[in-house]
Amino acid sequence: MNVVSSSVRAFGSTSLVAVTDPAALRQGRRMLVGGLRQLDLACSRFRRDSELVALNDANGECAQTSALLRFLITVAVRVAEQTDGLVDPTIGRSLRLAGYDRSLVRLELRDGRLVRPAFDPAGRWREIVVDDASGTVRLPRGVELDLGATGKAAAADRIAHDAAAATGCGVLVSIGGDIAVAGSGPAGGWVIGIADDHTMSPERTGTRVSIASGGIASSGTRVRRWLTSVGELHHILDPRTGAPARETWSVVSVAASSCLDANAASTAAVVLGPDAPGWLGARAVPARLERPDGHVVAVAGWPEERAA
Amino acid sequence: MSDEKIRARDQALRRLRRHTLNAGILALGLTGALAAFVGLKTKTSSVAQSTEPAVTHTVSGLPVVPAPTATVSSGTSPQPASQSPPQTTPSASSSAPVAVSGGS
Repeated sequence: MNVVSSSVRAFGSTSLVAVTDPAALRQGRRMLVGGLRQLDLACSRFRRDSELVALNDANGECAQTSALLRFLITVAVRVAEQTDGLVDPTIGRSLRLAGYDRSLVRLELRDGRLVRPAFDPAGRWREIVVDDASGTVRLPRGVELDLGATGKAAAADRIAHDAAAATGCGVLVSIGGDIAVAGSGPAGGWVIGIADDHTMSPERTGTRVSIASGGIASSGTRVRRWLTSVGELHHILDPRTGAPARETWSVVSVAASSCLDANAASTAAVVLGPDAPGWLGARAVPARLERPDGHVVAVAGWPEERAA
Repeated sequence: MSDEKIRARDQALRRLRRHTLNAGILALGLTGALAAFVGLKTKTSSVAQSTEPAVTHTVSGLPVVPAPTATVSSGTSPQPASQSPPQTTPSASSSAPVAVSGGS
């Protein structure tokens, strides 16, 4: 099988679709771009016309939302339940107060020395009310959502499955390094490189694994950072404190039966810090955890790495 | 017309020309400043748009809005996803990667 791929820039990151049938690439790309566009309109925190911005501004009132946004919020709440709140969609206000209040490119243009961050815990995800019958969502007053963790992963799963069904071939979708595969993949599986930063060239990655189904997601603390008056902060906040998680791990990669499950586990692992290997191992989730000094811990069947 | 009257008229004309010139310079300056400001705003905006696009392609046949079924359990007491046995165990590979998973 001849795997071909195409990539696009979106959300300050790179997305990619790969297919096992070159004739299906155009359709796969169209579905990826369409899905990204829908995702951005539904749940961007940084465009004034997004549904999420309107919902965050609703001040405790019910807001009419699309089925897509309700789906993404429902998924995010379930992930919060599954991780005991370690991955929490109500982290939006904490992120804003910590200084992540604009898109990545605008963060880079800002003089961060003038930004005084505040750290405010999240944890009110149980109070979110999603009503599919009326098509509404109600957030508790003062709560702001951020769906950055789960939204991209859920979209990657959905687009990969839709594209595989539509084209009849094997499909891999990566949204900012959160990867889902569907359909019949190439012989030997889909080979995926692991890196601190998903924008690294695939040929340069030293760690490579293959999967036949499900997905792989990575959460890292070396990217998506911003300068403040108290130093540089990263974007994976601990919902229990509202402050960036300790940088025990520079990047955690997880393989699971879906990209969403992989993303939930990798994000939770970064938040858990030193407790992550035990937490992942108890749940039999294959994972690779890399410390800032380069030391790697493999858990629950993730292939061991030989020293170079 | 006496010399005095002629001098007074000339002085008045010079004053008028000076004021007209000053007003023109002021107007030009304001226009320039406004143009520079607008230019700066436009440049900033275009940088943001080109670096972080919300995907500008016009597409047809958008994927159907997904239903919440694929990857999460439903019902009032969902099974933690991480407690179910994973269906995906990665294998080591030395082949060329198709994609990279990493921080974003």
